[in-house]
Amino acid sequence: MAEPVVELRGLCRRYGTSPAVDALVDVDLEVADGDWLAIVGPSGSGKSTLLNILGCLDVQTAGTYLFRGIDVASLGDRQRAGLRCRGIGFVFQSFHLLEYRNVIENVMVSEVYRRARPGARRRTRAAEVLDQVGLAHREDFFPRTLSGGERQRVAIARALMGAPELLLCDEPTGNLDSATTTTILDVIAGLNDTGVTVVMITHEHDVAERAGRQVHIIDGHLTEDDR
Amino acid sequence: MSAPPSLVAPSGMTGRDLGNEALAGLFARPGRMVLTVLGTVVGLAALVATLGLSRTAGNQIVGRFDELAATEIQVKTKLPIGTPIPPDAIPWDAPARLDRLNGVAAAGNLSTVNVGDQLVSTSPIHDPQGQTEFKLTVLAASPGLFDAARTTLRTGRVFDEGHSQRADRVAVLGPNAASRLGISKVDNLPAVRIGDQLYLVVGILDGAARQADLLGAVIIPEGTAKREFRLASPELVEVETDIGATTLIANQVRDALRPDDPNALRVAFPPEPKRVREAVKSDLDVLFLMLGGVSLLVGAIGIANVTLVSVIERTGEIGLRRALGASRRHIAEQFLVESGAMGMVGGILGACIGTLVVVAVSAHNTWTPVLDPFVPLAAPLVGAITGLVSGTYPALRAAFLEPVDALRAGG
Repeated sequence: MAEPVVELRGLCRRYGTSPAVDALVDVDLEVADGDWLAIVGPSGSGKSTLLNILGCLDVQTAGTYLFRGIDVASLGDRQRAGLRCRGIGFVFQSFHLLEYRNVIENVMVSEVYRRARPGARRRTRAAEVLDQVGLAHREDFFPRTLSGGERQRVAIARALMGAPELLLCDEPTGNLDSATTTTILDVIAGLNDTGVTVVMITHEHDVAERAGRQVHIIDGHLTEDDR
Repeated sequence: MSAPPSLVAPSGMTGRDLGNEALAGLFARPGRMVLTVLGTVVGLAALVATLGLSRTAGNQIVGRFDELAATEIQVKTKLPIGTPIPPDAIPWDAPARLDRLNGVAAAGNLSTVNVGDQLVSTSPIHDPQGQTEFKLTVLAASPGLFDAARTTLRTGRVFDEGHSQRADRVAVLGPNAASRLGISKVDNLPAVRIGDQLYLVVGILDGAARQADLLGAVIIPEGTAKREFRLASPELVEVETDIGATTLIANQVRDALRPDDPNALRVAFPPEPKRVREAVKSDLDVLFLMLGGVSLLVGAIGIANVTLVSVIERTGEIGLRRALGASRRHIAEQFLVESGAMGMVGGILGACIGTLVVVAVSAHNTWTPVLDPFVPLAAPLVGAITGLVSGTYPALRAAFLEPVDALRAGG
């Protein structure tokens, strides 16, 4: 049987010392291949902290985080960077596009740290993923000329560029209107249908409803939705 | 553990990608990049120009020294200084004998005239309000001395062979002597008194490249000095040679002047002003290097400042790159390459501008531009090093940003 993509056991994250703030308390979670998991919670509940740890951008203060069976806490900065660039794709609420690069360059930038697909092959792959998110006609546009939904689709294409094992979406529809939200969720659903494992955090229940699985987080405590 | 080992292999970045990302980052804000580079351009242009001008100016000075030193010979007797010179120790016709040698451009006798206690004055009237009589050096010269000593005339003329043969009472004044005596022109036929004898002033010198004693002296023809002051023999012969002929002439001059006793004469090459030359070069180099160094420091501070601002502005981008797999080292490398590239471009432009300044200033002053080729070639390297050094702190600051904080700040 294949290892789960993500396995958390007794995960804790504490900030500061006086007073200490527990952002995550004894979190257990497993994400299997092909899952689309929504982590739902209000502001300050710890969902961003959880996503940052899942994305190897932050490290837990206690407990275990296994990514494909690899104990992430045992990795150094460069190895965690390697895991991020090969195993994880990020989609942020505020898109985080480079305003001075055009659409296809924004997508290709994720290949830079993988030493992968030099030259024309990189461009071909970027064109493929842009086509996958329906933006093939916007290759040479700059982000400032795109709508919010298009920007988020560029960000999704960038995350897909390296065919990640896990796609982490941080409030991917937080800055979008309802029609565009539906479009983006359709794109994510389409990716999930092709086997991409997705973990998405949101505070909107309507958005979470689109995910196949939901967990709730309140004050750092995680509870599984029993539906 | 069944995970593929490549999943945790450290992320990497090819040199080409690093260059592309750094260039793209630089050109993201072209206006700012131009202004930043301008600081280094000014610094390195100043450094190259000052080094070039220092070398050019130094070369002019040293060249002048060399030109004078390389073409001068002095012939004296071997008698100790202060000893009365016996008659015919140096023949009176020494200039004529030396003029016949191939390589001699000019030659002239020069002697100090012993006038005893006699003073030099312009007026026989005693003026109690001011000094009218001066203790001035009186020199006797053959006409060729003025060319051999490279004198220049302010006004009038110098005496000639006829004056000397007739023992005319004429005089040429050095500029300092003329100033003390209050004589500035000769068209009103001024005269000076040496003791009781009147001497008609026929010319006033403006300067003398050799024999600085001429500047403060009253110079009379040696024929006159022979008759009036019983000058026994010339004291020295000043010889101006063609460039490169000094050694040859120096070997021939004794035989030409004293074939009976060549060893009675001492042929002197004036000491090369090596210490003066080195001092001049050293002083100029230090001065200009300091100026260039200060300019470069200003450029470096500019790069550091702008790179730091750039790091702060691009915090979100740093967070994104960390999320995409950049390690701390990759972030530091990108900012270092950006600042180094700015410094190098500044160095290239600065070298070009600095070289043009050296050429332009030299052309304006009709100097020969002299610039060590190493200086403009090294300027891009110096610029790059300056950029790297000044970008180190901002780059480290960028590298040690926590990705979560950077993403949050850039969101």
